[in-house]
Amino acid sequence: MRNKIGSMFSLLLPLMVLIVMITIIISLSYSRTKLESGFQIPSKLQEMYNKERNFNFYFEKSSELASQQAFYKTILNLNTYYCKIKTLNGKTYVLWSENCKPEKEKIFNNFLNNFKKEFKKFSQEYYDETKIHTDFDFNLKNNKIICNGNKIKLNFLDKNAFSTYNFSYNFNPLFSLDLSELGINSDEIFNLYEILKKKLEKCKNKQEKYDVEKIKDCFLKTQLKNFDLSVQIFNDYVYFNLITKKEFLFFDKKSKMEKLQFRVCLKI
Amino acid sequence: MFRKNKKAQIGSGISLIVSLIITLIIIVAGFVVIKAIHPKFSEDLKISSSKNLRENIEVNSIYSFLQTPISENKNVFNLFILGEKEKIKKEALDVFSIYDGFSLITKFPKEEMIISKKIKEKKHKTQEVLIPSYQGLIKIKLILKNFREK
Repeated sequence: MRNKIGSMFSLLLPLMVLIVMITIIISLSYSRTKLESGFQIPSKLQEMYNKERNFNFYFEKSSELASQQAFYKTILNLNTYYCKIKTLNGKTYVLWSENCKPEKEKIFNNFLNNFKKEFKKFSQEYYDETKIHTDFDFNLKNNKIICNGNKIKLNFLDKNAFSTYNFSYNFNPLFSLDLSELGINSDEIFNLYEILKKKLEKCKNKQEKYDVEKIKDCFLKTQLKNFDLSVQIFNDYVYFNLITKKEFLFFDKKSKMEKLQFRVCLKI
Repeated sequence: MFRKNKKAQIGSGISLIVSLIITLIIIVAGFVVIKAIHPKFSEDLKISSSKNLRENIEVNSIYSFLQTPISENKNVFNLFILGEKEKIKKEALDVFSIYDGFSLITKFPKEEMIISKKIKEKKHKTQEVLIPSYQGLIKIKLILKNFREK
C-alpha cells in the first residue's frame, strides 16, 4: 500500500513541478509585456520631445533666412523705386523727393510680405518632408519678429496584450527673431528718407548758400545703424552710396553671402 | 517493504531536484531570449530609473548640424550644437571628428552613406534633422551618443 502511495507521489511530484514551471513562465512573460509597455512611454516621449526641438530649430533658422531674403528684396525695391534716376560717374542714383519717396508703410508691408512668402516656402518644404504643419502669425515690433504658431498635436499609440493607450503630445511653437542680431534695423530702413532729409537740413545749417565740404564732412560723421555711408555732392544734389555694415545670406539665382548696397540722391 | 518505500522516496527526491534544475535552466534561458529579442528593455529600464526624465532627455538630445554654407567659395559652414552641459560639449566634439572638413554638404548623397556606415560601425544612434536652405531642405543625420551606456 505504502509502496503504491510512494510511487504515485513520485509520479505526481514532477507533474506538479511542471505545472508550477508553466505558471512561472506564463507570469514572467505577462509581466514582461506589462513592463515593456510601461517603459515604452518615456522613450516615446523623448521621441516627441526631439520632434518638437527639431521643429523649433528648423523654423527659427527659416525665420533667419526669410528675414535676410526679405531685407535683400527690400533693398532691391529701394534701388528700383519708381522715381527719377540721376547718373553720376556712370552710376545711377534714385532721386528721392517729397513727391517721390519710399513710404514707411509700404516698405514695412513689403518687408513683412516678403518675409511671410519666404517663410511659407520653408514651411511647405518641411511639411512635404514630415507632414507636420502649422500656420504662423507674425508681428514685427521693436525690431523683433514674433512668430507664433498654432498648436501642434502629435499622437502615438502604445499597445499591449490587454489595452491600447493613445497619447497626444502638444506644443505651441513660439519664438522671436531679433533682427538687430542679423544686422537689420527695420526702423531705420522704413524711415530712411526722413532720416537722410533731416540730416541734410541739419548739415546745411539753414543757410541759403551751402558749403559743399561742410555738408560732406557733416554726412561722413553721420552714423547709420544699417549702412556705411559715402557722399558726393554735384550740381545741388547729394549722392549717397549706402553699403550694409554686415553681410547677408540671400538668394539671387544662387546663394550669396554679400554686403548689400543701394544708391540714392537728394536735392540740396 | 521499507526498502521499496525508501527507493520510491529517493526516486521522488531525484525527480524533484531534476525538475527544479530544468525549471531554473528554462527561466534563465527565457531571460536571455527576452533580452536578445528586446535590446531596449534594459535601456528603457535605465530611463525610468532616472530621477529626472527631462534631464535624461536633455543629455541624449545632442544636436550637431551643419548649416548652409555661409560663404560659397570657402566652404565654410556654421556649426550648431544645442546642449548646455559640459559633458555634452566634450562628446559632441568626438562626434564632429567624423565630419572633419565640413565639406560634406557639397557632396551630400555620397557622404551621407559614408556617415551612415561609420555610425553603424560605432553603434551610435542616429536621428534625422532638417535644415532650411534657399536651395531646398537639407537632411542631416545626427549622431546621438548613448550616454546611458557609461
